[in-house]
Formats: sequence, C-alpha cells, structure tokens
Amino acid sequence: MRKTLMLLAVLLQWSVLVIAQTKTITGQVMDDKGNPIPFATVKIKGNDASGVAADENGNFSIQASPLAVLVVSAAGFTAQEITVGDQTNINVALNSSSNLQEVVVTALGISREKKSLGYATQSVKGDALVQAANTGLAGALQGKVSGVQITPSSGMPGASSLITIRGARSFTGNNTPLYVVDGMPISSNADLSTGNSVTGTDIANRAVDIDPNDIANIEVLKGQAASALYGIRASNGVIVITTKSGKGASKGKPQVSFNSSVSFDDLSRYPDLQTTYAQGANGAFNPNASTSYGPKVVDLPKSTLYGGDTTNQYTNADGMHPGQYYVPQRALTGLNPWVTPAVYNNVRDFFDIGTIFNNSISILNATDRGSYAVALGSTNQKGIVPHTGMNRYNAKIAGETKLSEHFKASFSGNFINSDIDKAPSANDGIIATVYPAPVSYDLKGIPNHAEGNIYSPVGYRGGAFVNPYWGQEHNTWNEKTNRFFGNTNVTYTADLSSNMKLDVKYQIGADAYTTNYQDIWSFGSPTRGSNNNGDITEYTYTNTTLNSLLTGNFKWDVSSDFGLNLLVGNEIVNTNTKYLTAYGSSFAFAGWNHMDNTGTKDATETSSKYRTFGNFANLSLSFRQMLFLSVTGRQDIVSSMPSNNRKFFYPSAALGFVFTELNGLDNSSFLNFGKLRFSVAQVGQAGTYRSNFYTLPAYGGGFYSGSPILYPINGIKAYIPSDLVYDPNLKPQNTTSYEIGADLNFFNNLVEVNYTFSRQNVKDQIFDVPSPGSTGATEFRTNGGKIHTNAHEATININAIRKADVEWSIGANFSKIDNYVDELAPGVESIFLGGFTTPQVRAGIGDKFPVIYGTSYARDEKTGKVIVDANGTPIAGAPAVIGRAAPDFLLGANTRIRFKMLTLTAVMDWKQGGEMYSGTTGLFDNYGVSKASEEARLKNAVQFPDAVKEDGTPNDIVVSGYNNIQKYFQDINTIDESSIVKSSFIKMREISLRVQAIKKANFGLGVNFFARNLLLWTNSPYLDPESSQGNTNMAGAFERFTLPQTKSFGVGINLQF
Amino acid sequence: MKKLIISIAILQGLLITSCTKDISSYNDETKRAANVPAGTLFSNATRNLSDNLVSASVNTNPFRFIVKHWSMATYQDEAQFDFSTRNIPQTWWGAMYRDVLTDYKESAKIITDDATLLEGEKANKLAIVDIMQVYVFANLVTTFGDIPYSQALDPGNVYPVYDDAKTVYSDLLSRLAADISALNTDNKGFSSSEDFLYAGSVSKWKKFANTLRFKLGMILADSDAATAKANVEAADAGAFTSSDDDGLMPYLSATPNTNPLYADIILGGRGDYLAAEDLMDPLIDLNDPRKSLYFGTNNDGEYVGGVVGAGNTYSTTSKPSAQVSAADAPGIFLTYSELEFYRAEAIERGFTVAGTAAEHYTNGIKASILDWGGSAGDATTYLAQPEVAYATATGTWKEKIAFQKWIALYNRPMDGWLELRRLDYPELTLPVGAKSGFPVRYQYPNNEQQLNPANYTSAASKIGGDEVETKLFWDAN
Repeated sequence: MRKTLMLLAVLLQWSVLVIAQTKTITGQVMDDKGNPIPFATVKIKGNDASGVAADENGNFSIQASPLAVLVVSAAGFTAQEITVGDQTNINVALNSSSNLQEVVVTALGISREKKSLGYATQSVKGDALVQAANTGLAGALQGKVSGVQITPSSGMPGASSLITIRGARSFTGNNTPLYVVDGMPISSNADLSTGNSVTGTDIANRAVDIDPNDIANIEVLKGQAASALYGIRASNGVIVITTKSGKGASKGKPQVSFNSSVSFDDLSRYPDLQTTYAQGANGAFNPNASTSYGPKVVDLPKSTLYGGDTTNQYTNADGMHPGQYYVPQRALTGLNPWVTPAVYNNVRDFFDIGTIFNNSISILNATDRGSYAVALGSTNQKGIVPHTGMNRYNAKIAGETKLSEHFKASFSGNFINSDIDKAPSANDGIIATVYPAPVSYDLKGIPNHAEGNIYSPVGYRGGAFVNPYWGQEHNTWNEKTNRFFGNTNVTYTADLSSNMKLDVKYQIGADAYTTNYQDIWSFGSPTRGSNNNGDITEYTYTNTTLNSLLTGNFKWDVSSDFGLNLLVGNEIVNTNTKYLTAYGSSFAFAGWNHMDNTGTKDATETSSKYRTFGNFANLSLSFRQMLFLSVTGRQDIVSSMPSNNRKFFYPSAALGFVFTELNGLDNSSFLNFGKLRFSVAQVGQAGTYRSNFYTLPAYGGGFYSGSPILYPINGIKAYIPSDLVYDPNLKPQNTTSYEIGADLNFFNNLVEVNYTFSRQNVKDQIFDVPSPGSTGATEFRTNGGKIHTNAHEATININAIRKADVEWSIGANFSKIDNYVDELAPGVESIFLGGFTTPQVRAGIGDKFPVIYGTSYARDEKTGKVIVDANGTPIAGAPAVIGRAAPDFLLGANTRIRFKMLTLTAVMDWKQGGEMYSGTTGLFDNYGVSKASEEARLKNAVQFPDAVKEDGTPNDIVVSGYNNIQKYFQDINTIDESSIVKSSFIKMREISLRVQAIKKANFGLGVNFFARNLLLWTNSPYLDPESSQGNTNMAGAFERFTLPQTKSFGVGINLQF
Repeated sequence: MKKLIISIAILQGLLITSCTKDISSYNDETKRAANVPAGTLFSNATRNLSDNLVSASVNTNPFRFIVKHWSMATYQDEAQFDFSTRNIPQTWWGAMYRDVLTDYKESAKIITDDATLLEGEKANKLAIVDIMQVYVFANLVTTFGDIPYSQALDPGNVYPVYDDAKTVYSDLLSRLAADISALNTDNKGFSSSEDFLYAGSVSKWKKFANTLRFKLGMILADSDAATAKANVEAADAGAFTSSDDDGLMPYLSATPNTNPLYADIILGGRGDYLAAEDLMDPLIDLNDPRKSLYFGTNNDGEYVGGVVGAGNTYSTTSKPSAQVSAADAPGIFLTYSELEFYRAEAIERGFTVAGTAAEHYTNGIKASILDWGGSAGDATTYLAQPEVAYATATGTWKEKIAFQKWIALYNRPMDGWLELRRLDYPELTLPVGAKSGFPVRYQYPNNEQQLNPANYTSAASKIGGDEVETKLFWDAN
C-alpha cells in the first residue's frame, strides 16, 4: 500500500513540474481605509507551504502560476482570494473581520453565516484534528470542543469511545450524536452492545471508519435547537463533518498533499506494584496461587515444600540445590526446574511498543465546470498487546460539475476496509493474569505451554485464567468491516429576480456495511467447550441505510434592512439490518479452529427494517444584520413505533441579537462584536416497538453453564412468547431544551469569548421495566422517567501575538455538565447499565447519571467515619451508591505558537471530579501485589485511617502479623467501596512541533514531531482513569482488568505540490 | 430543463406516497416467528416444568435437603432453610409463571385460534394443555398460598391481584373435572413428538388427569373431607393401573437434552451432593433393596449418610447413585406408586375406593422398588419383613403410609415436601443451624414485593403473614 502511494506521489510530481510555469508577483496589502497592513500572509490556495509574509509596509513578493489563486490574510481581517491570471502586480484591500462573518455548515448541510445563529456551534479545523496524527476521530476531538465529553474505553486499536454532548438523555438507549458526513447521516454507533461488559471483548463503534486525515472541517451542533431539523434523530446533537473537496482549489494543476507519519505507542501508565514478595499465601510459597502473599522472593530457597535449601520431595529426588527453588511450571515446559529466585517485571515484559503507520494522499483540483477530490488513506497499527492491531484503508472520490446555467450535480463516495484484532478484557481478560502476575514468576521466560504440546497452556494460575501469552497467541478476537457511504445530488439554482433566489436540491445517499466478527477460544482453552476443546462464535452484522433528501430554499432580500429565507424539505431514511450468529462448541482436533471442526453448532438470525419519513421547514428572518430569528418545524413518521402513535412534530426557535450593531455601540474598539443568543427546541428519540412474537428459548442448565441448552429435543422445535412485552402506547422520548448564550469579541478580535447555558428536560425515556413474575413476562418496554441537565459551556480564544514571524494564540474550552435523574418508573428504584449484581453501574433517582452501586463501608452515624471491627478491618455496610462517575467539570486548553517556520501546538485536558469502580486496583490489594500491601508487610503494621471502632472511639487498632495483614487486605477487598477511585486527571493530550522545512510556490515539505497523552497527573492510585469497560452508557464508570490506555510519540512528514 | 424538474418532482412524489403507504407493516416481525405451532410452546413448557421439578440446583430446587434425603458437603445455606440468599422463591415463581404457564397459555390460545383444526382434536389438545396448567397452578397454590390467578399472565396488567388460595383450588378441581370429560379417546391429541409424556395417547392423558384429580382431592382431605371424598371417588376408576401409565419426561442420553441432574452432578463436576443419614439409616436398617439404587457408596465402599445442615466430607459419605444422575433418567410428573399410597390412605379415611389399604400400600412399595430397577423378588423379601408389612409395621395407618411414601418419593423433591407437610410424618429433626422452623410454604418473591406492592401486602396479611412457617389452608393438621 505504502509503495503504491509513493509511486503515485512521484508520478504526480513529474506532472506538476511539467505543467507549472511560475512568475513573480508583487503587491501591497492595505486595510479598507488604505493604510498598509504589516506582516500580512500571502499564499497559494491549497498549498500552505507556499506562504510568504509581507513586510511592515504590507509589501510582498510571491512565486505563482497564472492559474493559482492567492489567499491574502492577516489577523483581524477577512481573507481575500485573487486569481493570478495575467497580473504581476496585485494590490489588495482587506476588510476588518471577526470570525463571526465566517460561514458555517448547519443542520442538513445548510450553510449559514455564523453571525446569524441563535444557538451554539463550534468548529474544529482539519489541521487541528490531525496535528498530533490521531488515527481516530474521537481521540482527535478530545479537549477541543466545549460541552462535549469523550470517554475512551482503552488505547487498543479500534477501541470504542463514548461521545456525549451536554450529558445523557436516555438511560439505556443512545446518547451519542448523529454523524453527518458531507450531508449524509451515517452510522457511528457500535452495532452490538457489550452488555454487562464483564466478559468478552470491546466492540468498536462505527465512527472508527472515519479517517481524520480526510476531514476539512467539523462543526459540532451542540444544542437541540441547532439540530432540530433532524427531528427524531436530533436529541443528542450532531457532528457535521465536511471532507476535503476540490471546491475552491486552484484550477489547472492538481494540488497534491501527502502525509505520512509513524507513531510509537506504550502503556500510558505502568502500575507501580510491589517487588518484594513471591507467589503464595500466608507467607508460604505456592506455585499455583493467584496471590503474592508468599515469602520474600529472596527467601524462596527456604520454602519447606519447594526450597533447594530444605528437605522436601524435590530435593529428595534431585538433591539439595542451595540458593535455588523448584518451579513446577519449568519442569512442565521442559526447562530446568531449579532456579535462583529473581524479581521479574512481567508487566513491562508483556507489553510491546505499538506502532502506527499512517499514510494519506489527497488530490484536489478545480476545473472550469467544477472540481474533484481523490483521497486515499491507510492506517496500519500494531497494538501494545501482542497480536492486536488494526489495518484500515480509506478511499474517497468526490466531484462536482456544472450541468448547465441552472443545474449542478455532485457526488461523493467513500470506501472503507478495516480489520481489527482485539484482546479480551474483564473476566475473560488477559490483564487479569498480566498485572497481578507474581514477580517471582518468569511469565515471559517460561514457555506458555507444556513441553511437546502447544495446546496445553501453562501459567502461574489454574482455572479459566489462561496464560496471557498463550491466549493472545491462540485465541482470535477479530472484526472485519467493508463499508461504503456516499451520496449524489442535483441542485437547481435560479435567480427569480434581482433579490430573490431559489435553490432546489435532491440528494440520495447510502451507507452500507457488513462487519464480520469472530471470537475463537482455541482448542486447549481452560473451561471452554467440553474437555477444554474450545469454541467459536462467528457473527455478522449487515446494515444498509438509504437516505433521500429533497430541499427547496427560497432567499429574498426584501429590503436593505430585512431579509427572509424559507427552506422546506422532505427526508426519507430507510434502514435494513440483519444479524446472523453461529456458535460451535468443542473442536474435534487441535490446530484447526474452524466452525466446521466443531461438535455442536447453533445459529440464530435477526433482521429488522426501519423507516423514517420527515417533512420539515425552516423560516429565517433577519433585520439590519442585527436581529436574526430562525423557526423550524419537523414532522416525522417513524416505522419503529406503534401504528397508532407514529407521527411526531418537533418545533424550535432561535434568536440572535447582535447588539454591537446598535447605534452608539457599533464603533467600540473595546467590544468590537457582541451577540446574545436565545433558543428553545423540542426533539424526540424513537424506541423500537414490536408486536408480540415468539422466540427460541435459551436457558442455562442448573449449576453447569458451560454450553447453552440447545434445541430441538426429540425432533421438535421449542418456542416461547417473548418475555419482553411492548407497551402498545409507546411514545418517543421527549427532550425540551432552552439555551441562552453570548459571543463577545474584544480589542479588534484579539479576545473572543463564548458562553452558553443550556437546560434540557427529558421525559418519557423508553426502557424495559421489570414486571412481576405473575404477569408471565419479565420486562415491559414502556415510557417512564425524567432526567434533566444543566450545562455551562465557555470558550475563550486569545490571539495574543499576530506578527508576520511570530504568532501566539491560546484558547480554552470549559464544560460543566450536571445531569440528574429525577424519576424512573413506579416501583423501579434503579436501572442497571452494566457490571455485576454488586458492584454495578446504574441510573438512580436523585443522583447524577450514572452512579456506581455496591457494598459500602459501614459508617458511624454521627461522624460518617468508617467503622472497623475488633480486628481493625472495616465492616461492610448495606449496598448503596458508592461512587458518581460524572465529572464536576472538563477543561481543555490549547495553544499555538509559531516562530517563522516552527510551529508548536499543545492541548491539555483536565477532567476534575468523578469516580470509577476500579476492580483491578482493589484486586491488587487482594492479590498482594499492591504497594500498600507490600509496605504493610515490610513494616508489619497497617491501620485503616480515619476510622472509628464499633463503640465510636477512634480506630487505634494496628493490624500486624503476616497472615493478619493478608486477611486485612483481602477482607477489605470484599467491600466494593474499597475499589472506588477518584478519576480526575490532567493530561498533556497533544503536543506537536512542526518544522516547515521547505516552502516554495510549488513545493512544500513539513516535518512534524508529536506526542499524545504524554504526561498524566491523576489521583487514581495505579491506573490511567481513561480505560473502562463497556461501549454503552456505563463507559467511564467501571474498570476491571480493562485493557489499558496508551501514550504515543512519533514523527510525520507532509509534502505538498 | 423544466422536464427535468418535473421528473424529479414526480419521482419524489412517488417516493413519498410509496413510503408512507407500506410503513405500517414495517415493524412486523418478518424474520422472527410471529406464528408458531401450538405444540412447540406446549413441549417447551413441559420440558421446562420437568427441568425445574428435577433440578438439584440450589438456585431452583432445594427440597432434597428439606425432606432430608440429601445432605450437602460444603454450602449449607439451603439445607438450613435459607431460601432468600439465592432468591429461590423468585426463581421458582418466575419459572412457573413465565417459562411454563405463559407458554401453556399461549399454546392454548394458538389452538383456540386455529380454524383449520378438527373440533375433536382441538378439544383434546385444549384439555391436555389445561391439565398441565392445573398441575402447575396446584403446585403454586400449595407452595405459596394465595397467588395471582384470575388476573395472572397478562403482561398488560402489571399489578395482578392475589386470589384466595381455596377459591383457586376449587376452580382447579372443576377445571380438571371438565378436562377429563372433554378428553375423547376417539380423537387425536398432540403429535407423538410434541407430547413428551404420552406420545400422543389421549387415553393415557385421561388416566393422568384422573390421577391428578385423585391427588388434588387427597390434599384437601384434612381441610374439606367432603370435597376430597367426592373428587377421589370420581377419579379412582379412571386413574393409573400400573407403572406403565406413569407421567414421565424422557430425557436424552446426549447433551444438551439430558436430565438436569446429569448437568448438575456429572457435567458440573461438583462434589456438592451427598446422602443424608436420615434416609440412609432406615434404608440400611430395613435392608431396603433401594439403598444401592438410590445411593452409591463413599470412597471406602460403604453406605454412609451425612448430617443435613452440617459440613460433610465428600470422600467419606455416600453420593447419589449413578442412575439418579444418568443422562437419560426420566423426569417424573406423576406415578402409579404414589397413587397407590393415596389409595391406601383414602380407604383408611373411609373413602369408597376399590381394594384394601394393605393391598395398595404393598403395591405402592413394590412399584417403587421396580421403578428403581429392583426385582419382584427383592420387593417380596422387603415387604415380608414385619417392620415393613402393613399389618405388622409400627405406628398408625397414617404413620405407616407416610413413612414408606417418604422413602418412595426419593428424587421427587417437590412432592416429598408436599407429603411431609400433609402427613406430618416422619417427624424429621430440624437441620443443624436451621434458620427457621420447618418451612411449610415459600415466602413471596422479592420482585412481587417491589413491583406489585399493594396486592402483595394484602395477600401477605390475609394468609397470616408472609413467613415460611405460615400454614396454608389445606395443611390443617
């Protein structure tokens, strides 16, 4: 792939050299009053490398071909484009500007002047997204937008992330925004939920298919008023993505941009674990123990059962081995079992240095009749966990052409092929045997299988906990996707009169993909299949969405003061999905982990169709460029709701008031722009209703749950009525939102400040309410519950220095999102989101969403202090809410400093507040690998701090004695609250240094050194809090042997010609 | 150009009309079954019922410990009458209502709605489904007391009221009487593959229904002798005549459609279940041929029972026999052997039933031994002992019958518990560490308390408190 790209690049460069005939152009840059603008930038459009700076009198000189378009820009002024043509001397007059005169893409791809909007949006430019060569969109957005919370699940290739804008609206349903790429809504969610998220692997969300390198701009429509035109899909906000296009590129010579980068990944944080004590329990060495409560490593030769210094069955057989001890696993794997004790760093040994090769090439060109763009991208990633990785290939072709005076047609098509190799986490996870591995055991050095039989895994633990090296080598966790999305459209444009303009556009788009998933527990996997013969699950999800969109836009400048814009339209979205699963158990023989090789098989099929039919209108009025009113309405008819309850109407209204247009305020140099925004909107979210149906039952068999009960029995199929019963009066979830805000620019746009407060009231959530058993059903899908959110968002940007050679800007995005559950259904105290019976993540009445529930410490009623028993161990109290996952606030800060050809950018991300259940952290104590347990044993003393005894007096009990200390830590671990950790952090999210080594008219070369997640400060004791279980609404709240987060650093080059 | 606009407009118009026209069928299930044969629901319900009755999972069915047939090696919660830790009443309740009764009800609905079915076949099938529903409701009403009945099994009504146990019971008896008269052996019932119990034989179902009626009548003997007598006498002639009539669920020898005990004991590979000394000692003392059929030996080849409620050593205690945990051991609904004990008791109570109490007592024991694989000779030898023979065994008629029935109802945990409560003999001592007195009912499930609170509260107070020691209406003595 990379070779092909290079070849292409070389070929294109030749063609460039042939075509381009450049000349020198000189000129002067002035403001609208004729005063020279010092240090303005002049560059050739589409070639950032070509830029030159004007001198202090605004004079410039640049090499450009007659076909090139010059872009003249200066801070505080609106950029201007000039086609070179025959000119050799060009004088340019720039108008003073604010960023609010820029045009932004709003709902349904409609362009609006940012100044006119009555609601908050925020854009992120393509180069800001990829400044640190992020391969995933979610990661690339972190810290760059206010009001948006991004919760990654881990640093594994293709790992899922939960993105929410202004909190959650649904308990168990979808809270993630709608993604719209070049006007076409596409699937961005995971097709399959990770469910309780305590077994198996993560499942990628489909936003993984988007290559950030091909993005020109992202517009985040945060509030419901901004997205109201999407009707039933609008409640979670919208991420509007515009990809690179040839529109506005210079004619003639195609502009080629080639980016290549390599990054190296490492664990973002190595847990600081004990290094003193060996595997075992109660001070005695046990080579199969899960715990490290054995003797000191140096004392292993003195072990009564395994020591080389003592008399035991091994020394009786092999003779004394002073200073050594016997390791049964070494004997099993064919090594000399006698070894001198050593301390191994199993965690560091296990993780590899991951690599990411990222290549992309884009070719943009404008022609007399239109433009085209071609982009190819590849991401080849090898994860830090052995045998994980991702290969993703993206191809795009887009074009636009004028058919006649009134007609224009365009199309855009994207093809993506991705292949992700994963690792299992939580209960099935490899981390369970990596992090707590005893330091005395040489996990890497001792082979992972018995001598002569690679299908007989050997590790330091028995049971289902397989050696992680063996598991990653033999088991398979894979997802492969082929996807196409794109659209084609025809636009009719006509000037009805000098002040009236009509546009009619019809667009049809498709998003079709198939993902094949494969989970294979190899032959030899403990507890899998009969006789550990393994099992295989193959599942395939196919989704085909067709989208038809017709819009008519009528623009009428009634007078110089008054303008009107009316948009009407219709949208039809049709989705067909199909989900097939096949399960096979017990491979007949080793070495061929294939469905055909299994003994028993079971297959299922699920398919569904959804259609939404919407009619909408938007009326916008403007008065003296000062007052802007926009009113929308949309009616949706939704197939997935009961037939008597399918039509819904959603209105919104937004008002923008640019008060600096008022007489007397319009010439202030202090406040050069000021706008107040007010909006209100109502939007919905549909659920899935089905009339009654029958399903195949799936019951486990008693104690034993190794393989599911399979039907038929005796030749007869068994069916049961669905035990989830649907409310025939089901209605959509309803969100009403109110938003006020202000946009203020000071000192000729030196300082830009935006602030928004929003309130969302959400009612009629759709969820499955448990039914009393006597109804014959388990759950009833109905409406119930209320949730509300107060969100404060603020952004500030300061363009501190704006000189030709030096630029410095600094900005910050602040979000405070308070999301409270007010009500659930009658009789329902909480809704389960994931985890175990205890601890679990749930929605609880009166609490922030979501909370962690589990066994708490018993606390003294008066002081609230933890009560310890006579042994000094905390006493377990009743199950209660023991942690709240939501942060107090998020703050992203960024800065950009350019000095001549060097540009330094940095993004910091601060999450303050919030807690998570960290099962791993708790189990470090239980397993005796934590620093705390080491310290207690070394000191032979540990005391639970700040606690009281049962009589209410302060805790003065010091636990001593090896076995007592072990029991103390293990007893504490049975209380879930002991595993709650604070998940605040500050991260150096991105830092990059770009050197523009060559910048000529026709050729630019930049080199970029970057790092991601390089520095981390957190009060979580061992782990990076940005790794958690679940691709659902529980994300960020629950960790238990979760795959870790990564940090990266690397280098990239950028070629433009 | 205008043509183009017009054609786009028309295309869009067509799309709009066609899209709204067929939208109503869009969320109909096309790939999941919206219509299934009634027999599939009937068979699934029957299998589930059997699985639950047979199971030894401590989450579902702890009665082998309650009747002191089995003891536990390590975990004593259930043996000590702790049913709440694992929420067992809720599991049972859910299994009966959701996994069994709902399926039977749906099956009946499909049969009723099937216009193509012959009337006679329809009547037979409906009667058979109803008999099984009566079987399950009778279990619930004798296990819990007042239960949701008239308003149960309606997902639209999430607050079903609890009906009076006695009223439910008499309705069950009249349903059963009606089912018996509705069964017509000239017409077909379910197909042989759908009908696990009798492979399509309507005449066998008629016997099953009469036997069930006999049993339900006998349960009322202490509280309402007249009703008991009427039902018993009406059922006697049509009830089982030999062990060939037994209502059995045939499990298969291959996983996964095996007897649940095979999964619990053999596949589960757990050393949890052991013999109880309370049953083992009389088996040894009376040279019972069923000793080696019910149990295996300990690791030293000896027959030793464990102490119920106390920790027992797996290696030194007898385990359930290989035939108990055989993959294809049948699940048992109703047997000739238990009927014969009922007949003996009915005669002693003065009901008009053919034969003598001694004959039926003898038949009951003999059938039990033969069912377990003992020989006729074994049975004769056993019965010849004066401690066993009806004429010479010690105790009242009730004690004699109850004692032998308790032995015969081995591996019938639910029925063993029912008979212990009904006959109050043998007088078993409380297990070590008992959490309550002997349980004579289950407490209502937690989720009913939470999700149907008003009806739960009134039912609990009406029956005299939601406790395991609250006696139910038929448990008069």
